[in-house]
Amino acid sequence: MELQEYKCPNCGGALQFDSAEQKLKCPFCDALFSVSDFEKNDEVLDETEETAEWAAPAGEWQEGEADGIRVYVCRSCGGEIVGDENTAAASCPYCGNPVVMMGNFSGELKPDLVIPFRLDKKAAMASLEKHLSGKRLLPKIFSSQSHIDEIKGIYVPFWLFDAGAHADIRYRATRTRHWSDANYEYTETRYYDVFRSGDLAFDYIPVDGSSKMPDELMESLEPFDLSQAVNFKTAYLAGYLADKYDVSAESNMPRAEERIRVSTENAFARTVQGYSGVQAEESHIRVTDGRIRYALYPVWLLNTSWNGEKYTFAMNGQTGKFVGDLPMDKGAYWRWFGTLTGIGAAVTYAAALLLRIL
Amino acid sequence: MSKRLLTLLLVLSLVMCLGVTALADNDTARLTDNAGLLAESEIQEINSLLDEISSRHDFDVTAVTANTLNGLTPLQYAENWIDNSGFRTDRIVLLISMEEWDYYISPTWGKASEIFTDSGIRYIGDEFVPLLSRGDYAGAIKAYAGLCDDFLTQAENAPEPGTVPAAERSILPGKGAIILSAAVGLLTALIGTGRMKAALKSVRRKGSASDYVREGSLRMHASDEVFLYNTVNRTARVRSSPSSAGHSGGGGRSGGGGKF
Repeated sequence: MELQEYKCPNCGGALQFDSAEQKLKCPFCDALFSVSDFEKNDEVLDETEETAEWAAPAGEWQEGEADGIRVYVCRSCGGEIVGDENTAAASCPYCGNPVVMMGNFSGELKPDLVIPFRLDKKAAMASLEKHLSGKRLLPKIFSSQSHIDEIKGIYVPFWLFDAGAHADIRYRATRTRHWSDANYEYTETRYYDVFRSGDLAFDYIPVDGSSKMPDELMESLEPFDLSQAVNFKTAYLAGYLADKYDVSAESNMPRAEERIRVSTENAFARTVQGYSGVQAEESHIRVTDGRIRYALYPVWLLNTSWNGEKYTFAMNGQTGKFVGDLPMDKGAYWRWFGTLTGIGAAVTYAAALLLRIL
Repeated sequence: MSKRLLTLLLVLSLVMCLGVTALADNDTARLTDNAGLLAESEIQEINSLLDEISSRHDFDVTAVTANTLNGLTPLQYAENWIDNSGFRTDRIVLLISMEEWDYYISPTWGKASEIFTDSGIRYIGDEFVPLLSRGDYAGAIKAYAGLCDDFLTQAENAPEPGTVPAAERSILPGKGAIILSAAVGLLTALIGTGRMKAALKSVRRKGSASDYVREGSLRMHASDEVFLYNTVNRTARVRSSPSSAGHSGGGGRSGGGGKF
């Protein structure tokens, strides 16, 4: 597979996409180049997909171990770059040279859109610190003892679904009225059959196209702002990792459909106003497919380990939203529980005492 | 000789008459156990208690038990017994009738009915009825005596007689407040720690695609609202019923009783 490199024309250093400048920057001579300067390299992507070639590594591999491993040879230093069949962008571990595996982006694998990184590694680390602060039940030693195993800026492949939903929904709704006379209290309940039929359209619903990235983690990072999305150019990837998709759009459609269904039901239920009780009885929702786009979204991934467990944190590389589940200190939990019970009881008892005295 | 005998007989009968008169002047024992519910020792003990209270307050606190009311109402029986007993005008009597398991407290009129109002009598009744039901007659009468003592003491001290003795209302909140405090404490703890725990978790699925709805794309083709039927439910209003523990009677009378 052809490897594309991004070298500074002035000094030959490895160029990296700088999120602050939104241009390619040389870390050695500080020269800036716009992404469009490297555009003509991308013409090769429009050719048909090349067959993959890989260099057989030295040594014997067990049956199955070699599956999916690809090794590339860095053109600058000759070092081996190891990836899997989905790796689409990487850096040479020896000389730091960013490379893009063009074969993984050519033909039908070429992404339609990419949202470039807006926040750099420093911002990611700062976000992590903020995420850990103020969490009363976090074990105190987590921040000091856990260490970042690796922090990678990675473009995650997403399928973006445009879809239309047509829904016919029937509701049973009630209105109640109360009144009373000298002897009785009356409650009248009026029952209605409410029908709604309409359409709703959705744009750019993202579903994670990489089996390696946990879907829940990726969904927690939403939303991504598509107004900053640009047409794909490989130069944006310089300095970051990227994978091509390995989950097809078809297999992701059910997830998108599920979200569409929920949103449609909510939107329709909101149109049924003026009743004291509304219950959906029958709901038929038909999802019509629109466009399916393939996009790369920027994510900073931080893996740490603590107390024998692995914790993964992710930051939205565009908006800065930081997510990641944290461990709970059981001792602190029960201490807080006891303290709050004591305070609550004491305040209530004191109030009762005061009321008695007054 | 016969003159001396005659004088002796006259003197003896006089002495006897005097004795009888003296007896008549003496009050009937404040506790009269006609039904034989108590032991001798208990009767003596309670009598000295009642005597002590009565002399201290200048108010007769009395009790009588009976096996049968002889066809009289409890009120009539109690009144008869009092009229024949020579007690002070200011007195209160507790009647315990085993015929149909009735008790009756009658302070009747005047100062007594001011000190022991109908609600005061109900309160006293509620306090010793459990003891009567258990068969602890001595305990019940003693409890009655103690409560009368409280009421009388309070009447002498406080401007508003007939209310529940002040000793009952201690300054510390009771059991109810303790349970409420515990419940509120637990609730605060649950809510507080629940929120802290939730702060630790940030990875969750997105339920809907609401962020991706195209603006203004919601278009309704048909919307119908059809009335089906209605139902009317009614519940009877609760009317407050007057309490019927006391008896209604002529002016100034007060008293009350019940079953045990």
